[in-house]
Amino acid sequence: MKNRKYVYLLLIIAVILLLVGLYQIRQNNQLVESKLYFATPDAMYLVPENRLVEKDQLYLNTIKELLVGPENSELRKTVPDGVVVNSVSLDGKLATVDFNEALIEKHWGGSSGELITIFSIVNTLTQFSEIEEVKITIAGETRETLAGHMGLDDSFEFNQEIVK
Amino acid sequence: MAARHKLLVVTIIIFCLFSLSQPVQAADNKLYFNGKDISDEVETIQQEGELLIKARQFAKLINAELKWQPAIKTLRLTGSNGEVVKLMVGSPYIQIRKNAIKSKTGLVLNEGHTFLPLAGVIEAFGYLIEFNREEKEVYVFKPETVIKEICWSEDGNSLEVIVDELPPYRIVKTDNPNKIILEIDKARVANEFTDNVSNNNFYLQVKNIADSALLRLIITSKYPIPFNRDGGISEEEDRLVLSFLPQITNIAWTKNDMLMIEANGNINKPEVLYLEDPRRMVIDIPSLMFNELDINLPDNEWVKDIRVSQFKYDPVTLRIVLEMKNNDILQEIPREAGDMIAFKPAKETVVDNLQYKNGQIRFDSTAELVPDLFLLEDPARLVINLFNAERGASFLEEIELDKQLVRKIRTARFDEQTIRIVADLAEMTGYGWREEKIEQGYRYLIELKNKFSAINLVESPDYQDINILLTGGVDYEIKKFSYPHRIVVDIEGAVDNTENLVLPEPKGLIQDIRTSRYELEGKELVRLVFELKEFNGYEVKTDPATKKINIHLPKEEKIALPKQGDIIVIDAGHGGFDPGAIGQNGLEEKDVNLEVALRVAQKLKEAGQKVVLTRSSDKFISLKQRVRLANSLPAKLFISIHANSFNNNISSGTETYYSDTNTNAAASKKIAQLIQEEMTEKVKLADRGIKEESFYVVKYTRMPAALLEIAFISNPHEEVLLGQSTFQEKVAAAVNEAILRYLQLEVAE
Ligand SMILES: [Zn+2]
Repeated sequence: MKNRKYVYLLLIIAVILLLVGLYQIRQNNQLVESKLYFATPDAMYLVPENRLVEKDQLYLNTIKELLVGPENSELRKTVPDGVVVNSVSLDGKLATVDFNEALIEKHWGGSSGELITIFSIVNTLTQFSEIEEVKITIAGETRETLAGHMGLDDSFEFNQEIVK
Repeated sequence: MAARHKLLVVTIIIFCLFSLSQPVQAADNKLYFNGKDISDEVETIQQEGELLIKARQFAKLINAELKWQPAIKTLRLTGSNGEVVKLMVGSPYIQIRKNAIKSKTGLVLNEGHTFLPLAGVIEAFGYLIEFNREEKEVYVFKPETVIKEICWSEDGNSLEVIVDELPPYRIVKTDNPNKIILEIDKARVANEFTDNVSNNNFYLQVKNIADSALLRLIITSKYPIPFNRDGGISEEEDRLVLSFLPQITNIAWTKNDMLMIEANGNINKPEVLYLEDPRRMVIDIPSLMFNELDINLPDNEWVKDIRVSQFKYDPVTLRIVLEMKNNDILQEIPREAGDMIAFKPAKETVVDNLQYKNGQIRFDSTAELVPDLFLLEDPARLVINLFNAERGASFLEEIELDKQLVRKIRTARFDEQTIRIVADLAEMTGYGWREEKIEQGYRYLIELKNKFSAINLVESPDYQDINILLTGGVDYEIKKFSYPHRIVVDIEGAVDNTENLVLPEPKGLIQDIRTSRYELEGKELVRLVFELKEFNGYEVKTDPATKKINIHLPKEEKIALPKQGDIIVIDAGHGGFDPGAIGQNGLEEKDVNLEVALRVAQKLKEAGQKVVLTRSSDKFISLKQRVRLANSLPAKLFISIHANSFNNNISSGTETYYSDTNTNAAASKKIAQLIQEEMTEKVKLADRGIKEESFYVVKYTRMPAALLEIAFISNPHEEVLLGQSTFQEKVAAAVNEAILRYLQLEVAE
């Protein structure tokens, strides 16, 4: 049927576009290995997972990979779906990472839930020797809290206790 | 058909499907704005159960400025009081300043016009909305009343609801006599509203009944709440006053042969009379309510029977009748607490050696007695009644003195049982008495000394001090009142000579100084009121029963007062527009936290602890406000109550947090440990242990602090538990037990 042909055609075009895009990214960028901290399913610990990340805009791309979630099915995602990282900027040893409103709006809450999110971001960024502290902002602004327990006025350092 | 046409058809079908998924209907509600029917003036639509109003018309209605940014599909409204509200097409969130609330639809584009969810947006501009679903009517109006504070009156017998304007109100009848419900129309609570009501016997809940646009204040007591018979509620210029009376709670003949009467509030000075045939003692206590109670009357040699009745309602009088075995009389013994009086049999005694020395009247007695003292005016006299007494040889009828304080002392037999001493005074003077054991019995010393010698104000760079100097030791009580801020000093056993005293000119923090006489629980008090320009806490730097009272007022909030105190702060996490975590079945963390916090507070109060709740209703308070409140109090513990959550349904168990950066880190760890222990033992969920993390409220509080995560609301099994009152009660019992254990340890140290 003509209809089906039509659908196939569209699909083929989409796949080609995707491949071309991926090819270009690979060509322009070198990949390096980053540690991404994901959660154990009991919300007790963070476990690092290694992943290849584009070297260009390394911090931003690392966080973008963190947002994608773990490959290891034993681990849990640490940031809600729909969260977008806007920027990561470095001032001395302090990195400021800015997310969209969804980080607060779509957050599942709970002290453990909040700790997991904050320290997966903080531990992931502080793996880089240039970063010692991390501050989290939302839509360019400092908010009082992420989920009602942790203050976001403060900046955070690597948390060893929470790493399994 | 040509491919081009097919594409068109497919596009149209997809478009139609999209449109169908979000049905738009013109709303058939009637809309009233500030009491006026504006249904024909504005366009409204209904979508997903949400009532939406055309944005431009809405802006005009409330006098807001509207800005539409087509590029980012964002609508911005700026109200006349600077309120800013932002909505974006496709997002259900309504951003109000820095906070976001969720609506069902968010901003909707309909036929080229923007429509916004009325209920979510209108509240940001200080309006309230009321739905009458049956009549399909919607009322929008500005609240007419702001409730600033609810507190006890100065005499503790009524509740005052302080408002900016008197609202329409009513008392709702309930079947539960332990509960009063006060409904106030078109009202909201002020942002700085605090619960100054909840105490040992009462607790307050504030519920916003959004559908009916009213606020419900629910006051629950451990006991039936007795209203004053004629209209328990009255209006004063800026407040509604709910008056009620205390009730008798206990009457007993004790092992050491005393009659004890207790009430759940102040007991006024009783009137006593004796009746004959058979001999009865009648005790009439004004303004005290009857209560069913078991009278504890073991066999004794004085009293045969005790009957209690509500003798009169106008004025309210409780009558206690004692049927006596002999001709004894019982006399009231000096009180230690306002809610208790006691009588004991007066023994027959011989009084002797009456004399006056150094401002003291003294005499000896062969048996222990309780002198009944009072002052009379014009001319100034001090009267001392001694019951069941006979005069000895050296108890003269008259002693001429002409001393500075006392002119003359006379004694006489007043009636069959009573010897009366009358001291003619040079002027009205305070008095006090004490007893000393001597070889042949007891010596009674009546001191005539305490009056004010000076009141002065001392200013230092950081503090303002109030000093009250007296000629003798007095008992006193210091209270803080609001609107305007006042420090009130009630002094017992002093004579009000303040008229003859040069009061200092108000300066520094002190705006005004007033003095007055005042009666409380039958005691005459001198009341000094210091009105303050601003209030940043206070500290009393003197001991009870002193000649010099010093009140230390910090000029700025920054200056930390000592942290040691006796208040326990219970913090129910989240609240208001912040629901905290939400379970799969819709249970909201904020409600669980509040329920448990209220139960913990109630238990602690029953155990005699002073408790302050950071919130006692469903309202939002920031982390900073919670910490600021706790740090402004003389608090000894801060306990935050939460329910945990994660992005799966298997995380489970209990954990307790403390912070190493808390100024009392070691004590914080201790209380966290005790809570975790008690929870594991009593509530028996998975033990996740105690953890060190710098959560805001445990980090910045300047007292030992812990944060409990009861269980995971994201775990369906634990969500069910968290919603059950039996479970909440178990958790509260565990937390209460942990706190009491902590306090015991503290005492032991
Ligand atoms: Zn919470």
